[in-house]
Amino acid sequence: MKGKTLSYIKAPYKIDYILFSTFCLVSLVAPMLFFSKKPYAEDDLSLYIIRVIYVSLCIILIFADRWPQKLKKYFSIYWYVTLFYTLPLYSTYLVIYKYCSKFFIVNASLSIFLLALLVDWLSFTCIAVSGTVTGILLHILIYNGINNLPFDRLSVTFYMLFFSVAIAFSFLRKKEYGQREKIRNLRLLAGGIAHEIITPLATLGGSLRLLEAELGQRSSSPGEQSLLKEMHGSINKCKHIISSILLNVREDFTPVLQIYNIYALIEQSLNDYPLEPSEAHLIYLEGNRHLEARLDQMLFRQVITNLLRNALFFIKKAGKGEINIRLVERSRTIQVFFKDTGQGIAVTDIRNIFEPFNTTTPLGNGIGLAFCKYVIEKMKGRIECQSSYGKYTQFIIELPKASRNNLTTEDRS
Amino acid sequence: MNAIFYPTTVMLVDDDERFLSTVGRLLLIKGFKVNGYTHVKEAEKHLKSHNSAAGRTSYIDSGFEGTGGEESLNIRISQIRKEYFRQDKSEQVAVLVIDHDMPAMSGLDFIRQLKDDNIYRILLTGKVGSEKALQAFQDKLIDSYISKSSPSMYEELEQQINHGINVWFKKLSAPITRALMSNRTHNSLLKQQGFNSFFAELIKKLEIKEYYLIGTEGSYLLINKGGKIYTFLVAAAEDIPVQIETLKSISPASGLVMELESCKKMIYLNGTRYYELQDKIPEAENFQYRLLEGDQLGLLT
Repeated sequence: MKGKTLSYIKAPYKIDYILFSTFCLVSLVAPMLFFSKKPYAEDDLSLYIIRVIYVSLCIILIFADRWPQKLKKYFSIYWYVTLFYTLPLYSTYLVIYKYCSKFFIVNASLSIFLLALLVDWLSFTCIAVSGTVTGILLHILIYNGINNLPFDRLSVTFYMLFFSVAIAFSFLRKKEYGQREKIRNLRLLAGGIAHEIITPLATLGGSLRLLEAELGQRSSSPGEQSLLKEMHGSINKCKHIISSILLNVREDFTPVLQIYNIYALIEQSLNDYPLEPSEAHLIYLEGNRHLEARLDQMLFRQVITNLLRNALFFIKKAGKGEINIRLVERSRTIQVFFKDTGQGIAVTDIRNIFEPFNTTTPLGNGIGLAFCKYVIEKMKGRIECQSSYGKYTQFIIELPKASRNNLTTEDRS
Repeated sequence: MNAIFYPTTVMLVDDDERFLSTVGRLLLIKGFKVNGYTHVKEAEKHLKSHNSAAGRTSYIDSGFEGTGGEESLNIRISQIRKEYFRQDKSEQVAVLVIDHDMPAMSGLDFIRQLKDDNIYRILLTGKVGSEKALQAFQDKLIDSYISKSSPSMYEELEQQINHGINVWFKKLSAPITRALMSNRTHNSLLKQQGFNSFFAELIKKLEIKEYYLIGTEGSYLLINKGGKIYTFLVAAAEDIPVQIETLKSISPASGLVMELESCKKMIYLNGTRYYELQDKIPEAENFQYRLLEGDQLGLLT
């Protein structure tokens, strides 16, 4: 449960959190510039402390890139805490403290809207509600009660807040709908292209065979043979990519789940992969050889091939590292730990690696990992990624174990 | 083993002309006779004129005749000649390879309206694990489906076509093979396990392209690539008593009768002529065969 909650909280894009913390800092300084009266002169100590925390949170956030590796794990939680503190909590507190002054009503409304821009609707609701409530409680705690707020200002405050929340929700809905639509269109486009290309590609493969047959009549040179081999390899690679796209764009796909020896399948995928001589000794496979899982063997092998291609790419890029594949038996599942000690993935990139057509990460064609996630989830499993930049990347695939119990429930359903 | 085999046509339907010509040429190299169509209308026309059930002559009677225990399986040997010289025989489509995604009509729709049930149907799909193809396969609408994106597409195709042709002739031979299998008293080489591989080997060695069963015990008339004819004669040990009876009525004093009685020799008896057999077939101890060049029994003249 805990793990799931944590993985739900996503780290922001770099541009988002930098802009955000800058905005927060500026909004603290702004009153000093706009108001002739010294804005903070009448504030008491508690408010100064609250402001110091506010500023520190923002400054630490700006330098998230330079955090020590150990702390980076908690980056996404820190991000949510900062949002919670600087937006709803702070502005609520200030609205009450300043007797609903115009400036702070506007500030509170803007905060709500800013929050909507930065997170999804569920996070938005949680943060906004909890932040507002905490702001009120904090005020009660410090001053043993709430200031006697003027009624007309209070109603304006509520009106503004209600208005902001309404706009924020409508915006969020459009944002998510637009995102879904965008992905849907991209899928359609990719599917269409893949589908159009497949026949010419098959023709190309056939023509190559014909050419081989022609060349076979007279003895072909080693150079010609290696060229032909390379062409076959490239065609097959294209075919593989296209199959992945076609599988990925289909929403109605049902895998054929059967019981397989998972160790043997991985071994087979490794053997089938066109490894270069320098790469072969980098791969280690360990764990119980007799574990069986319920899966679609073709899809599972494609997942392993995809992960392998990824890992080898990053090992090559980093100029170091090896691949370790480990099988671990859990009470109801089997976990495959696929770890490479190559380049690793930056914290801010991890949130997007499983998203289709994601171009913000340098991970291949933007299809490979999305495909893996899609397929593994179709097989009723889970896949997640852990990484430390410069050190390692580890994918954990969890698949239902083959046992009599889940066999019968499966068949009943 | 099939009772009959001859060159047939593989029908290829795909709207992509280049793909069609490439696959056609590749299959041609592999020794198949291929007709390619970019449009279903022309394909239908070909099927109508060459694959109508009425046009197919079968020289095999559908079962054993006779009363009581005295049953005998009939092969209308006179029909072999007719069958052999039939003009459009090789135009018959044994295997259909069709693309699913075509503008005019989908491959599956084309297959649905096929009149000839014997044709082996292979569906080519662009998609991997296409649900429609899987469903059609489970519904027995198609016999096989191959994904164009599979790296081994051409190998799969070749293997499936070979299999399909074999299935087609199996269906054609079904009346006689079924009758032979269900009859317990009549011994035939076709029932022997070892014969399949032996016969396949023989066909490969002699480059046989066409063959006809000429006797229920397993004798065949074989024709190779260059049109050369062979006669493959077989006799079973249990036929010997009947043969002796026949021989005695022709020339009672023959030394051959003695040799047959002492099981030293086996013969193939055809009317008054006989052929001495001497070779054994592995895993079929009760049979002897002899391979002769030419149309020894004069079936095609």
